[in-house]
Amino acid sequence: MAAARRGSPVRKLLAGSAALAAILVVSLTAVGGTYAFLSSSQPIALVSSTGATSTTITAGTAALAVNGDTIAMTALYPGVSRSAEFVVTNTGDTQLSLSVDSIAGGTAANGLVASVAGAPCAAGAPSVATGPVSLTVAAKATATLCLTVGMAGAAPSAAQGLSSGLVVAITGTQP
Amino acid sequence: MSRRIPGLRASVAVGVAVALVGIGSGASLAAWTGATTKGASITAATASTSATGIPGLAATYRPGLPGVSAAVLADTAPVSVSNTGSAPLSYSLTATGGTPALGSQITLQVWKAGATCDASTVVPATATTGTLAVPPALPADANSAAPGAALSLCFRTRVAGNYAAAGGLSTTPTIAVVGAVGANWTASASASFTQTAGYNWYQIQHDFSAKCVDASGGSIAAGTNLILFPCKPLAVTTNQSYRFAQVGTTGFYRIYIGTGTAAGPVWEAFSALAGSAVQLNTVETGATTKSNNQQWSVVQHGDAGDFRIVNKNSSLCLTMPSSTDTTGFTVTACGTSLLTTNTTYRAQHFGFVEIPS
Repeated sequence: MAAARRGSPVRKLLAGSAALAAILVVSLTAVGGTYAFLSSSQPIALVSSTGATSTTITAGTAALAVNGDTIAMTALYPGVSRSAEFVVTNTGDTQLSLSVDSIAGGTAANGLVASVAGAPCAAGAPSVATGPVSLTVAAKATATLCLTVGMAGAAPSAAQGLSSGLVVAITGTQP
Repeated sequence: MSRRIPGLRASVAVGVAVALVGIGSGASLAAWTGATTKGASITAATASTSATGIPGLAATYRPGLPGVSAAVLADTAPVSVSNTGSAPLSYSLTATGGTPALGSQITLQVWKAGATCDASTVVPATATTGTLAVPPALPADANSAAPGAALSLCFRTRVAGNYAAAGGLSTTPTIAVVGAVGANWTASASASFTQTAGYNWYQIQHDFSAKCVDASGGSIAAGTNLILFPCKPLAVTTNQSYRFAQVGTTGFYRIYIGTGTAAGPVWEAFSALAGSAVQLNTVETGATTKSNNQQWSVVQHGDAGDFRIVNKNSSLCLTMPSSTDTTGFTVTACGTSLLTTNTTYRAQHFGFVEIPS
């Protein structure tokens, strides 16, 4: 009777293992795609003359590059904005979601305000000065972004004729 | 004696495996990132403008005398405004300086110039209107210009011939064409000019004697009688120079002499009775007999260039029945003869010789 109350050892083992397996499934589901990327495999089939087997597993990379020269915009005046497209290339091995880290160079003195959006450049399109641009670029693929630079209506008179440099910092993050 | 818990060893083994997998998957939570930058070079525009033609508004107005001299009470000048910068500009006008007493009486109209911009150009309905003291906004069809573009404007100033209290004054305003974009970018071009509310000055010659109406004794003091005297060299500073100031919009004038002021003296018939002398007196305003005795109309009558000077209060004509020096002028009933040989005609007709300014 006592053995019946406690259950058989096999049943306990099965119950414990099932619970842990459930935790494992949940854990792996949570890490999702990243797990899928890292779990990619390569067959180990190399056999040396000595009979030893060996292989080299190289980690992937995440890298971005921009194409083209510095964007040039001229004749900005208070209340007007100008836009230009530029291409970002995912030179790494993993899909990346793009976001704007910062846009440096706009000051009260030059009255410049800049933002980035996905191409094509279009009036009223949602753009960000910092944050995600809702654009994902596959490995080895390119994405086109739109830089919009405007001058505030209250830009000071001293801003006339000024030349200013802006730097857009873009980060791609593995989704 | 310890008891073995059934399945414990197997469970521990599975747990370790789970932990190892978890550790492995935990490492992959560190998201991979790549970063880059893109540069941009931004050059701001400039606001700059130029204007030509504003000095063309320099003018000396003259009220003239109907039938004698044409009035010059308007001035028209083309003004060109160019946007010489690299930003589009919205334009306005400002005025600084000048004499408000006159500037406020000089109307300034501005319109987009058409084929012509001269005295004969008809002012279009799109014209805007202000004064030299407070210029108007530019017309809607000519108040902005793209970079490199130009506005062709037509400016016309105008003053009423009676000048109110501004007669003889000059004003030298600076008119600026101001282009703006945004709250703080402006560019302007300006120029000054002088406008004067001038007069026409005349010697009044008695047709028959060819002598002049003269203030007796060389005086222009109040109470001085007007007499006949040989004409002097033309000059506005003599006691034989007169100007005609229209009373409001009526057909009557006050006749000022020489270097007097706006307060006079002016001609005045001593009374409404025939034979009354005509003398100089201080200006009287208002609807009074004295004021009406000081108002005269100039009526072309008879031969070309012949005029009668008729008093408002009495409707009597200025009369000089003699050609003898120092004979005093009077007012008498106006004659009806158009014959230049008629005695009354000869006594009551005069001509005007304008004194060069």
